[in-house]
Formats: sequence, C-alpha cells, structure tokens
Amino acid sequence: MKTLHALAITAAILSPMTASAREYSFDVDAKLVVITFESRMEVEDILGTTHSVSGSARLDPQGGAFQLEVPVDSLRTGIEMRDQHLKSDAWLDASKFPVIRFEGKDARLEGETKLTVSGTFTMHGVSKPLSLTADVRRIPSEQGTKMGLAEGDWVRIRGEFVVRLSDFGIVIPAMVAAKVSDAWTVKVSLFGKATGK
Amino acid sequence: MRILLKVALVAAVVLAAATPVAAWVLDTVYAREVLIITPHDPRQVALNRQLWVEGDPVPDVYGVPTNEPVRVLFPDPARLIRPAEAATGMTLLAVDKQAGENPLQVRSVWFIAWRAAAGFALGALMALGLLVWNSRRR
Repeated sequence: MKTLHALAITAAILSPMTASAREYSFDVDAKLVVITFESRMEVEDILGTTHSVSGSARLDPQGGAFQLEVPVDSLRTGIEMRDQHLKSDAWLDASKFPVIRFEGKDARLEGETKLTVSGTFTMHGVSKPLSLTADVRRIPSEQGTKMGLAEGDWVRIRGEFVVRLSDFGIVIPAMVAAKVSDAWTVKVSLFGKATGK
Repeated sequence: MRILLKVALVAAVVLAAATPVAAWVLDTVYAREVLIITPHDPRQVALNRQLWVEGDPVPDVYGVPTNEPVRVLFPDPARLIRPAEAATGMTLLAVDKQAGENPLQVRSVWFIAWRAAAGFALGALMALGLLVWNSRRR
C-alpha cells in the first residue's frame, strides 16, 4: 500500500513534465508546411519555396529532437528554367543528392515558446553543423478543429537560418554572380500534428 | 554612309537618354513597394490570427515573408493584402512560387535599363567616331 502511495506521488510530481513532452509529425498536411529560401542581390531577390516537407519534432524541456527532409526536386522559384538549373549538377545536383536534410539531435524547449535546435544540415552531399532558434506555439485540439484542422493536438513551429552555398561545395558560376547570393536565408513554417497520446 | 551613321548616332543618343526615363516612368507610375509573402493556407491564417498577440510579426500571420520589402511592377491588386493588425500602411503581396509566379522587380528593370543606356551611349560614341573619321578621310 505504501509503495502504491509513493508511486502515485511520484507520478503526480512527474506528470507536468511528461505532459509537455510530445512528438509531432509534419507529414500530415502539405498545405500547412512550407520552407522558403531567399537570396538578395543587386539585380533581384530570388525566392523559392517547397511544401514537400517531411519530418518530426519531439518537444521536451529535458531535450528533444527535430528532423526535416526536403526533396530537391520539389524546390520552385517561379521560373521553370531557373528551377531546372537549380537541380542541375552545376548547382544542387538533384540526381546525385536528391534530399536536403536537417537532423537536430539537441532540441531544447526554453519556456513555452522558444525552441533551440543544434544539429547537422546536409545539402549537396556535404554535412555541416547548424543551429536554429524557432518560435513554438502549441494548438490544442479544440482550437485546431474549430479552424478546420484534423482532430488532435497541433504545434506551430517557425524559424530561420542562413546557409552559405560555398560551405556546401556549390560554386556560383561567374555569369550569374551578380544575380545569386552565396548566403541564402531559409525560413521554415510548420504545422505538426501530435502523434500518439 | 554618312546618312546612315547620322541616323545611328541620333537613334543611339535618343535611346541612351530614353531608356532610364522609361525605367523611371515604370518605377514611378506602375510600381509599388510590397513585402512578398509565400501565402499560408486559409486555415493557417485563421489560426495565426487567433494566436497573434501585440508585438508578434504581422506578415507571418498571412504567409512566410521575405526579409526586405521590394518594389514590383504591375502587382496583381487581387493578391495585395493590407493586414488589419499592422499600425502602419503595410502592403503584402502573395506570391505562389509553386504556381510559377514571379513578379517583375523594379531593381531588375533599373539594372537592365542602366546597362542598356550604357550600351546605347557606347554605340553613339562609335557612330560619332566613325562620322569624324569619315569626314576627315574626305
């Protein structure tokens, strides 16, 4: 009886911690996830997007995880010919390196709305360490369903980071050097649905 | 030959002067400063509106914004958004890259215009040089 009582107390103490640790999937609704990438140069700003994002986030104040994966083929910049160039072997080489990946092994939830993730970003066959800070908002099931989302708890994650093409072995051809920046701002806007209970 | 060179000289001078003027007219009359956004799904916008609190970035309610505003030519009025949450006159332009949308930026027009004007000016100088050389030869 004493053991049961002790277990109940321990469970009560731990429950706020375990309740806030949840796993979310970004593979639920492609319309609710978008990643943009942006280059700013003298001639023009180039903006590209993709909705083909898969991955998950385990949000846990004790240390979670965060994974994202994007097929290079899904990147669009608004001009078909530019998209073809982007996928060609002179740039991202989609046939050899079909996926861009971020593997966040150390995802720390600070407070209720701040997520800091350190991990590895892989593009064009090169992996580099990368850190990002994201804004996190949890969306309870009632609020989500009212707005037309599928039943279940949701989370909204927004963050951004900068990627230098030269760090990933991509050399900008001299002909387009005035048009394409080496530094690209990448922004993620994700709605993830809680998996399990 | 002289007539041809004179025509070429006049045309090059006119074009060298007219190209930046045309770019200026396009910029002044037909361009608008906007913040381009990759639009969110309407469900997301509704939810973002609910989650938005004073101090949160406004453009993010409607889509993923670019870093800086940009002047674009002939923006589709139906794609312009004036957020109610913004105190100042912010204008967003929803651009769907997945649908192949790519509004023409004024920066690109000026970039081309200055280079074209320089090309015409160079052409004018060459025509003038040929005219002088031609008249001295006589």
